[in-house]
Amino acid sequence: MMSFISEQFKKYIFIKNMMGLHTLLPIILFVILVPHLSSVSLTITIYIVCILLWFILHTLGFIPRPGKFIQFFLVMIALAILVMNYGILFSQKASLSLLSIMLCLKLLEIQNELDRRNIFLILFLSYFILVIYFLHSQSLFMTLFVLSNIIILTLMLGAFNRKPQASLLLFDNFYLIGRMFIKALPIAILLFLFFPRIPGPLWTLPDNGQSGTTGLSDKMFPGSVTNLADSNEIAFRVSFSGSPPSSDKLYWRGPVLSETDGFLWSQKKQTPLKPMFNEVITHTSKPISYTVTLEPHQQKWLFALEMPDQVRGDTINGYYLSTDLQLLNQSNIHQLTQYHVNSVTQFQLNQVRKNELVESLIFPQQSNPRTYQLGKLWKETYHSSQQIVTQALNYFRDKPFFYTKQPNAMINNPSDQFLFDEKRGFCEHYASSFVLLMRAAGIPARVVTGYQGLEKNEVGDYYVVRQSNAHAWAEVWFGKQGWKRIDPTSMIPPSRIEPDIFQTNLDRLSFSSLNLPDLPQLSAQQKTALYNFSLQIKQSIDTIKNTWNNWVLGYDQSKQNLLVKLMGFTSGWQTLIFLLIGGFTVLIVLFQIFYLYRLHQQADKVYLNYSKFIKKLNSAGMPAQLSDGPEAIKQKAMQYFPEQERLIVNIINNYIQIRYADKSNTSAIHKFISQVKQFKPLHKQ
Amino acid sequence: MKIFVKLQNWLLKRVSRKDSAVLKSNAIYILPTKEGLLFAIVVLLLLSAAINFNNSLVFFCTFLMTGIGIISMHMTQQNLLDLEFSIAHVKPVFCFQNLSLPLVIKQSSHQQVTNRSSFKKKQLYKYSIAVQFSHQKSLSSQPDLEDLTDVPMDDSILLQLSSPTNHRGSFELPPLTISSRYPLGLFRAWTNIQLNNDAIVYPKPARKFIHKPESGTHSEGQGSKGRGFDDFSGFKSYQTGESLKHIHWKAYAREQGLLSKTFTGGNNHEFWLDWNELTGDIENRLRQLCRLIIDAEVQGDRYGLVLPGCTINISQGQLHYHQCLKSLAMYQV
Repeated sequence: MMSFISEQFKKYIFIKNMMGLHTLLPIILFVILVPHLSSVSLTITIYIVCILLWFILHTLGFIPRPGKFIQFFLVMIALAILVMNYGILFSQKASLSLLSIMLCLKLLEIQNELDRRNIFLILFLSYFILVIYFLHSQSLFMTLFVLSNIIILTLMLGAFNRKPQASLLLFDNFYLIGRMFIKALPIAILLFLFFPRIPGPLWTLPDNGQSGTTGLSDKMFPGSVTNLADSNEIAFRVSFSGSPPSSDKLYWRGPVLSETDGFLWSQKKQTPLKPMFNEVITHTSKPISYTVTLEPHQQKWLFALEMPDQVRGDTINGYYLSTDLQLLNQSNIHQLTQYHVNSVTQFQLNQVRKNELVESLIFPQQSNPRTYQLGKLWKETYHSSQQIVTQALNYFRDKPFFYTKQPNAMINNPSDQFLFDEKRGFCEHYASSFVLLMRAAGIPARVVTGYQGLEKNEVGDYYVVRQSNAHAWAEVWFGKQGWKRIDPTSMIPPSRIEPDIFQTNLDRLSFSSLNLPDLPQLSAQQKTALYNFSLQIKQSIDTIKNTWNNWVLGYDQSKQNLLVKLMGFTSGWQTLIFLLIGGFTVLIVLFQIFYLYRLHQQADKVYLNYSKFIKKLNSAGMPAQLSDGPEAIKQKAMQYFPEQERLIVNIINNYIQIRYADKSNTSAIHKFISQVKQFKPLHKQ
Repeated sequence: MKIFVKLQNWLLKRVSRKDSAVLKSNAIYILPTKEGLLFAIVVLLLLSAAINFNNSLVFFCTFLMTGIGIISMHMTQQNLLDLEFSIAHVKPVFCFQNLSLPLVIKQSSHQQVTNRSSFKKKQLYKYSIAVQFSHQKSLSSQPDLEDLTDVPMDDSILLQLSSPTNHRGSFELPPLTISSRYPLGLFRAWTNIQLNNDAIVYPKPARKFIHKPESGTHSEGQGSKGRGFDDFSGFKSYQTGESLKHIHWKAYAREQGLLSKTFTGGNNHEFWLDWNELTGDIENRLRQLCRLIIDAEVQGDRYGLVLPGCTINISQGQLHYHQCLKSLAMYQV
């Protein structure tokens, strides 16, 4: 029993030796890993938390460090967990998980706080992980998170270079590190602005598959677009050079779906458009020019108005127009992407592929028989496609069809259910049923999904398209006139549009949706004023976001060229290198000036003026040195310049008083300085 | 690593000996540390990620870290700038004992700075300065964190350097390497200095040496009557100048006048220690003389020293003792 107690006591003594600055490491590491851990499976989180706890308990002296064997075992568990979660695919998320697990395991190898090799490796890898977060999110919040953690890491780095006695005074270093960041900022900005930007990925990592972003997908089924109707999330922002087109032309074309089994709609494999754009499309209208800032949606679509003619953008690499005239990116869009498009809204889209029309006629067998019957009936009754289309649209208009956000679920033959039983649906119900009707009637047709409409930000003079603008419509083949857009939902008269639709699409920012408490004592006018006020605030915040997106996140080669041109240079990498070197020179000169200014500020005024006084004596012919005693100088000066005796006595007496009696006497200092200024000895030969 | 050793050797040859050394920017060298190289690799990795994914914020953070690296290089150099080193008075030791050299470090600034808040003064600290003896390894080896010193703005720091001695005479302090890796440890700034000092190493005393007074030359032999402080031998009338401790106060109280107690020393001799009476080579004789001086001082003898070309008159006391030992130490060096 006694030996046990003494063992405990020894451990307690041991604690003092184990505790140190490195005890803070697991806490900081955990904070840094939070954004990653919140997006991975629970097993990884638990594993990492366990390792961190182990290290904390170890530094507190409760448990020893794992031996070689246990470490090997821990690595094996880690690999098993990783394979379990990600398979053997080496994706971005998997490699980040691997890196964070290895980082935590490295923690267990730290011997003590003098173990520079391990500690520095951990700190540097933490920097790396932090910055890599920007590949997944570039939000303002993430920026603040990463920057503040970079500062904390640098503080730690500084503290580890102090002697251990001083190390816990972490904030002792704060001033120094802060000064360092302030000095580093101009360098960072200079490099950010003028470091030559190269468009194009050097390599790509496999995509992570699904991540929980909302948005359109390449599949559509009854209810899939409805899910988006309540989302206020922004899909993309647009700024037009000129005024936006009228609302009947604001169809942002996305996935084109032509394959169906009667329930699920999906798109054909997309291949780049072989013939020239001009061969496929004949257009009459003037192209509309605009810039889209697309939020990352983990898919390939670059949404554009109708038919995109010309596209520019540095952040999109290898975009192409597909055979369905979708604008697609080579890889999925994981970060904010900006591109400039010229679109035509009045056009004739001709046949692109040979099989296109045949594929757009396929009616899935043994599904939706009643729909098929109706289409067949129309085919026999009417002769022209035009008549059939009109008949179908009239059918929606005249029969009691309702446009609603809350339709009943339709699983079996949804088109039949919708057309003949329910008659209540959202856009995808209308579009898919319409296309099936057309196909049954022998007219090639396909479903197009995308967004419709936009919302103006009054503060920032740009437009916002939200997920709730998601829409589905149809394209029908009219023979010589080519493909034509038909939106069956537009046939529903306002009386049959349920109010919740208005609430989302048109009047989304109504009073109740602002999450303000409903205040009955306010009059309608006050409510409107309050509503307008909050709307303005919301729009102002979004304007800041938009500016951030445009000028920080969207700073690319074209913006760099623009900036260089604005500065009056020709763009090109030579100019950039010249600007970088020039900028650095200017920075060094500025630093130097600032440094000299500071020296001047910090200089001892009393000392400066005293030496000035002695210089005056010297130039007037009296030999004197700084090292001479003030009393001796006084006596000598009084002999040399008897006419200024009083002043000399005052100066020296003041000097002695300041230097030896009262250091903080500012009035004496001021008097002394002015007296030295007054002192003008006559020159003696 | 070989090139670093060569570099350091070359730099060491350029060091000149001074009473006090002020570190100036033209003599401060700076190189990245291993950690600094690792940091550079991380920054390069981030840069390639930024270019690859065309991600503005990754670009910005990469450049911010680059800026921090550059500024930390400047700050590491600044951290050594204007430090002034000198060696204070060194207590002499016998050969093969460790010499303890008090190294004085302060900030040399030509302009006195006054009227500063303590916070502002703190900014002007020099942090984590490492002082090592320059040897070939000193470029790569890590000084222990315990050896780091902070130097405040307006105060001097005393650092005890310890150096073994292996020959008598004046002590030549090997060059010192002053280095710092503050603030971030990415760079190591260092410089070599060599300082003059007043250290003297006495010869190592010979083993216990039985000194026969017969062999010494008695000049004014007082024999056992010599006065000392150890054994009480009687009273005599007090004479001014004698220690008050020796006054027989009880007698004074009995109105017998001021009487002073007299003592005899153990063996209160007075003699010459003569080089010529000893045998052996120079070092041997010096070591024997050294032993004799120590013994004589311990026993309270009065002694003089005769060396070829140098004679120190008979006397006693600390000053005399050190003077004799010093002349032994400096004999023919």
